[in-house]
Amino acid sequence: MRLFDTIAQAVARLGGFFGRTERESRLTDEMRFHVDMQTEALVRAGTDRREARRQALVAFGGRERWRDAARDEYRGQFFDRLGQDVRYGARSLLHARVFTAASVATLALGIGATTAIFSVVDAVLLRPLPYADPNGLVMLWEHHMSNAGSAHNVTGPANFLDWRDEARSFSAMAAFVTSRVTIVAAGGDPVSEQSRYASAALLPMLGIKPVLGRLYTEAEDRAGAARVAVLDYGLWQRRFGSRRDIVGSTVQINGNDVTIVGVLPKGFAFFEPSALWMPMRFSDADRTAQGRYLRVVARLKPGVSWQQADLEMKAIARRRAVDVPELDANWTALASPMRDDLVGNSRTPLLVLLGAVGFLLLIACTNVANLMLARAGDRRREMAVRVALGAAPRRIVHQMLTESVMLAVAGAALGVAGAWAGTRVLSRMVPPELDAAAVSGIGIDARVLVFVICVALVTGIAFGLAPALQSANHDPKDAMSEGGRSGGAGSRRAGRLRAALVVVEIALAVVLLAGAGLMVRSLADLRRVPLGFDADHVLTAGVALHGHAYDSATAAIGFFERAEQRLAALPGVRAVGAISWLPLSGLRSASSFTVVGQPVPPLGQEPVGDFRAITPGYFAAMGIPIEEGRGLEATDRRGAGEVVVVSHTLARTFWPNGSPVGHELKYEWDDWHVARIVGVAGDVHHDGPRTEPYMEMYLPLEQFPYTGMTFVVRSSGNPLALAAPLRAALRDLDPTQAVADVKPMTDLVHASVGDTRLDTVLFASFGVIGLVLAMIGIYGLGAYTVQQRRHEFGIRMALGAQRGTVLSMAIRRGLVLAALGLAVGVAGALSLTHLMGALLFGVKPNDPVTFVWVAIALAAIAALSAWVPARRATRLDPVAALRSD
Amino acid sequence: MADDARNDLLQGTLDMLVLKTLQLGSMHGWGITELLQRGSEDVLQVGQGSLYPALYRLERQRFIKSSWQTTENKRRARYYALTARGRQRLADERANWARMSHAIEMILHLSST
Repeated sequence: MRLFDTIAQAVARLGGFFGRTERESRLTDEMRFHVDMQTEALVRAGTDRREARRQALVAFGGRERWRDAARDEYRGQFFDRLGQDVRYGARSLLHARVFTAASVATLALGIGATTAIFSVVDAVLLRPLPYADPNGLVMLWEHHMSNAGSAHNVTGPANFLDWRDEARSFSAMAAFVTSRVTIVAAGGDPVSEQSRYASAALLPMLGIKPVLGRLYTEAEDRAGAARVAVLDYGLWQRRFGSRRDIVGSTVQINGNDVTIVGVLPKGFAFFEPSALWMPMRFSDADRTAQGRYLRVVARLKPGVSWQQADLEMKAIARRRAVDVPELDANWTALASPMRDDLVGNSRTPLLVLLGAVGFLLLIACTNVANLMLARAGDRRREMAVRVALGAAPRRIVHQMLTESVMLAVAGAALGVAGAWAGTRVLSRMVPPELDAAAVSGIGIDARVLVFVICVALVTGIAFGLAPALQSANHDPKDAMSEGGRSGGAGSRRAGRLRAALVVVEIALAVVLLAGAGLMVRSLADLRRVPLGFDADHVLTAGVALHGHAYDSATAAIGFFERAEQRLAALPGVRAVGAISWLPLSGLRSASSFTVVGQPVPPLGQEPVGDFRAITPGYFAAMGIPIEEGRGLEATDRRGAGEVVVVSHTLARTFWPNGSPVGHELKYEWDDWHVARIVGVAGDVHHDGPRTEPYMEMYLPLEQFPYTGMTFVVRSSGNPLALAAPLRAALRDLDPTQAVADVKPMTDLVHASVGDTRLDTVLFASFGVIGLVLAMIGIYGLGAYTVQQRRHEFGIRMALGAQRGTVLSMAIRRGLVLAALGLAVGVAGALSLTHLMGALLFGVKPNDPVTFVWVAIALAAIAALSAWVPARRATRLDPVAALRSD
Repeated sequence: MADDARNDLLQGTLDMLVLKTLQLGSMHGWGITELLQRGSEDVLQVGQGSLYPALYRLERQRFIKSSWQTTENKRRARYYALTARGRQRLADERANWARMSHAIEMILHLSST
């Protein structure tokens, strides 16, 4: 007895919560009291005490059974019932293996896809930026009133220095620019690393503390100050072996000796990754400097909103436009929350995808609800027996909901596993700026798991409620007396509900399919856009010259010339050229220009075009056609007459009918230049197929010296086979120069439609999964109907009905539901697809071709799904059908 | 005979009998079994496996209430007492029972004259 008590109390304690402990001890106490009393009574009647005790215990009966029964009756504790329901549910679900597998798989698809997309949405749009008080951070930009340039245009040092002195909305302001530099550590090879020049105020503004040494100071952020730099944690590990004595040591950066003063913390990133941070070192000359290349970040003073800051920036810009019209006429300035600039254009696609995946989850829920209704039909007798035995309807609902939540939880577990794998693919959806900035990136973390748990519970209840209520409403008398034969009021109600669910499912699938169709067509159209060059067989490689050896323009030009000669001599090379800003690289340099002899537009309203320095071989190497005149030639040297080749768009803009060859353009680049147009080159989509070609001016490198060029090498075979010989040839020419970004041009082309491709793949998968689930729904309902009416079909066939008649009777319902679902779905899709506008290319959101195809595909699939079970009806053996039940 | 009676004791009947015993005054579980057994001259032997679940059920339905008390032998025991609801319930069940047994009696007394 003592042992028993000990165990009972241990169990009670393990049970964990007070109510349970109290109840268990009451059960034990009462039981002990009862047995004691019984023993006493037997002893009084003359039995030996030990024997009396034995008899008393025996009389008490099986202890565990008693306790189970007593527990059930006692208070009906929620968790006890839950435990019971879970046990019962697990048994029942394991029993119905096919149903369980189908439901869990469906839910895993829905929940997994939702989780994967949510994890991206969370990382991009919801999680706070990993900086001190991120809501107070704003970016400051300029914008040209002509709307020709970027909505968020970079600014120049003159404006930045003026803003920093004048603006009252901010407690701190910093400028930064990212640039590739060449680093030479003592005894090491030169390496090219993307680095950052930034005001001393920037890192403290973000709340960043160095893990080693210190950050650079305001005093070091001045022209003439000693050169210093801080290292990114990654570079410190990669290139300097995490040596702590790196602080205080000197490295060569672009040919200058620079002292390393500190190391930044692990995981810190801000916009693009940067290996090295150095001060801007602005001088007084920068107060009047031309050119725009700076991004500006500022911290709002407490109590100032970004909108107020934005108004102040616009006011400052109006004053600047009057004070320095040569720089700021027709320019305005603006402030925007930093997250907007980090998220960029990803917000809309992400939200659209989240909506789409939500639809998929709904379809999955509908489908499982349908399966459960079908199963509830099979379980009518089981439920009826439980009701007859006194189970309250509430208890039945509870039981059914427990089962559906169990299914959802199992589906969620499986789905999260899938989502975890999926996020690797989806990490591409995070804009690179944000990917670097978000410390942990996307993935399944606690936030996402909480989301999944909520989704699992809500979906479990969502798809379980209707079937559960349905089951609880069974009239036991009905179910028992019906026997196996169906057609009672209850099952007719369930049938209607199932039909409604199938309509909903089809409608949702239509919306997804329409979205998928529009994306597929957009991608196809994007791929069809001729980019203006031939990327096949082309290898690219960048070299940014550094070091005092190339201080003179002649030396730099000489290097590229000799390099081209060496590359051209490599076996398998057909053509070689070089360009300052490669198409699809995301780099461009634009400035205003005027046409000599045409009316000069007012200051600030001059046309804006892109400038690119090229070597004479570039057009041939890239496969860009010369439409008029000639390309650039080796004779277009320094000192010879300045020449330019313009793009088709520029030519047609200013000479809609005539030829531009022989006319002159005036542009400012350090100085004023006048260049004679010698030819017209075909248009190139420099920023990808979604962006219209810019007005381009190709200038000979000789007359427009630039030190950072990308080689374009056309080979006769696989361009990657040239990578190693190319590196070797360039190293041979000058071992102190680093070669970066050696890759086939086709990679850039592929990447330029990468976002659309990923969106398309996701949408198409959602659409296909939705369609398959809808198919299962139609099929299931059809099979169920045939099963229900097999008696009737048997009679009809026995009476001589034609197979065709029976087939059409059996199929009709499925087709009617499909038509209804299609109608609802098309209406829904028409009202929703306009939200996808930003993702589409070349097609309208209500593109009739897409919608017709979706309708045809769905009708065909629906007919097939309805036909398969209906055919079974015609194969019924009338005798067997009549005899069954 | 005794075994048969115990086995055939229907759920509702046990509830009624428990309520009846408690009408005589509050009592602990063992006391109820004793009373049922003695009161029925050993015909009714209620198994504890049925009694305690019945007690908890009745308590949950608020027909009876319970509290810890000390017996005359200074032992701690759980005493059950009838509530107003329980009293009403007992009256209903008695009426039902009377009707049922009367009906059954009538059938059993039908003669084939």
